[in-house]
Amino acid sequence: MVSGKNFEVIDYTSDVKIKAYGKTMEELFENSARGMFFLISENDASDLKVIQKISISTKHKVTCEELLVFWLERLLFYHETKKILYFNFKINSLLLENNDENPCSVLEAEASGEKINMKKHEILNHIKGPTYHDLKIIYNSKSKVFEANIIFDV
Amino acid sequence: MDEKNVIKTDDYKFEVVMDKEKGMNVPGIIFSNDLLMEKVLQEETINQVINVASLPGIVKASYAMPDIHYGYGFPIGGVAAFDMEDGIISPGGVGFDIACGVRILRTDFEFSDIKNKIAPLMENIFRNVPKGVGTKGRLKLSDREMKDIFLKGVLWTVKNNCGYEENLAHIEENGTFPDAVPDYVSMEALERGRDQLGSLGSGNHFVEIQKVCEIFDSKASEAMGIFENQILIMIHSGSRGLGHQICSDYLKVMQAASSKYNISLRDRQLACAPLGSPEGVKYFKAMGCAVNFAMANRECLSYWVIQEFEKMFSKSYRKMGIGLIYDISHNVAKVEKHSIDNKIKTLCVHRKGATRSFGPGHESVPDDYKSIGQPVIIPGDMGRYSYIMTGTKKAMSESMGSSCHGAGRLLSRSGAKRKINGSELKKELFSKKGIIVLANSMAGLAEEAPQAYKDVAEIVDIAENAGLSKKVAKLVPLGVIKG
Repeated sequence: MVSGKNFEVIDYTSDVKIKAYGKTMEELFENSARGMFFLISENDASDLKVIQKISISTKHKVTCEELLVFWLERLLFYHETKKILYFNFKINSLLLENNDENPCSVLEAEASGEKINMKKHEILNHIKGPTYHDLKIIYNSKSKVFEANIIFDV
Repeated sequence: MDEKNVIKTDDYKFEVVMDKEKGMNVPGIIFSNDLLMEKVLQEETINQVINVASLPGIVKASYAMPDIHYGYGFPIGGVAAFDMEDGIISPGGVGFDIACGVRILRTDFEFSDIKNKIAPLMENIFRNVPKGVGTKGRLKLSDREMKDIFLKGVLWTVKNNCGYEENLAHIEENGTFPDAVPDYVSMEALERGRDQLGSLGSGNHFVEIQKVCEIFDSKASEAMGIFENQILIMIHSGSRGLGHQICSDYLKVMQAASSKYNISLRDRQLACAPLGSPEGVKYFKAMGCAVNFAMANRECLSYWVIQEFEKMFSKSYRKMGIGLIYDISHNVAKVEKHSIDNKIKTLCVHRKGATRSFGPGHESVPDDYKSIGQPVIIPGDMGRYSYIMTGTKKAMSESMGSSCHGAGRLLSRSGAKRKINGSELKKELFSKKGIIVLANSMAGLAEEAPQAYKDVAEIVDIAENAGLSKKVAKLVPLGVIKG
């Protein structure tokens, strides 16, 4: 990780972009979600009463990048429909099984946050969705972390 | 420019020469000038033009309008037409905000009639028009009502007392996109849109009260009922969470479809399917639902804005001469007829950050605009000006009947926030230009600062000089509401 950062915001002309880091793939997914919600609102967590369990499973071959997009999309869905700002994320299980006979990938996670309160929270960006553009998860062998550049449409 | 094989073919047109080794099926054509072209080359936006040129069944060229800038998948300002038989459809060529667009309404007011009422009027509109996530929508719709909107578009608003029948003729497709099948929209998408009809959204979406400051074309302005110093209302919004989720859902479908149909992609955001395939048809018809929702959204928004005018001036909208000049979508794929090599062909034209610009006489142009061409609405930034233009016959042969859609960003959002303070910007716009700006987030406002955008006058001049659209009127903002 760069100086212990979980993610950083990168300049991108038309939309918004983050670079997320993680010592493990699970941590990379958690920090990608932190980055996305930082773009939505820079408010700090104060009252994490709402807990959302998230379960994603696919019966076809997927890449870890696709699974990352599915995870962020699902969080956006709950954020927008339940009007919650999420701050903490815990990936409990992340499994990619892409064999020819029985492909099966699973993500089990929990996100905690609080109901949006316009008196307290400032919504900076309404994120439309994560894109696949230039999305590549790489392992940086020098810094020994996973990295992903993610562009969001706003 | 040489290394990219970009040739200037006339003062406002550059060609990216077709290169089979790069997989291009057609050349790229970029409408620009020397100065702006340098920026296009710096940002490597050309690669996005080339990527689009490599998609199967693309006809004539991968076009980029004068406000081209680096996006994802398609460049912003990208236009591409695909053959119905061997071409594709791509959600990445439409974007997340399906049918995002602009409408402009006229009034009988002159600036002097209402100048003391603009501030309270803006306050009332700000209070009563829902904006983004976290603000409560005014309508909570059932599944059945949502599906009805997906099918009927603006007609639904007319039947449900939040839209005007007389506006229908001044909306593309008369307010109802015919190819819409609600069954192809996921429950997640429906859920995201459920309380968002008649809401603005955030980012670059806005409601503005504007003043006509200059008329360039008296015949066209007369046909639209526009005169100098007149008060107009401009609204920019789209299909909200519904469209965003439909795009996300079908990007997944298209990732698999691209492999299934052996379409090699230079950017996964360009994932697509043949137009006639089940995946292609389903996306098109789900997209149609979002188009109807977006048009209905803008109608609802203007209905509520008009209500505030009615309350403020104690007059009906008819008495105030309020009516829709035109409503356009600038992120959309449409099936259109175009003349290709002297033969009429039906094509699927993707416009991502580009406006349809049909010329005089075109069958899709409303009768009262038939002699002037379709109104083309070009919003600028909140501190300078916007334009109304008209479509041209030349656009039909030059750009698949398309023109620009706005100024295009100059600074990234984070770059703008570093340089500009939202609260100071708000004060400065009022003290120096008398523009009243209301926004929920001052940081969000900084991202939308005039300095973050190119000068739309330059973009509009290129569009006019290239023959893509013709200037009718220049408008300045008086009051701005940002989501």
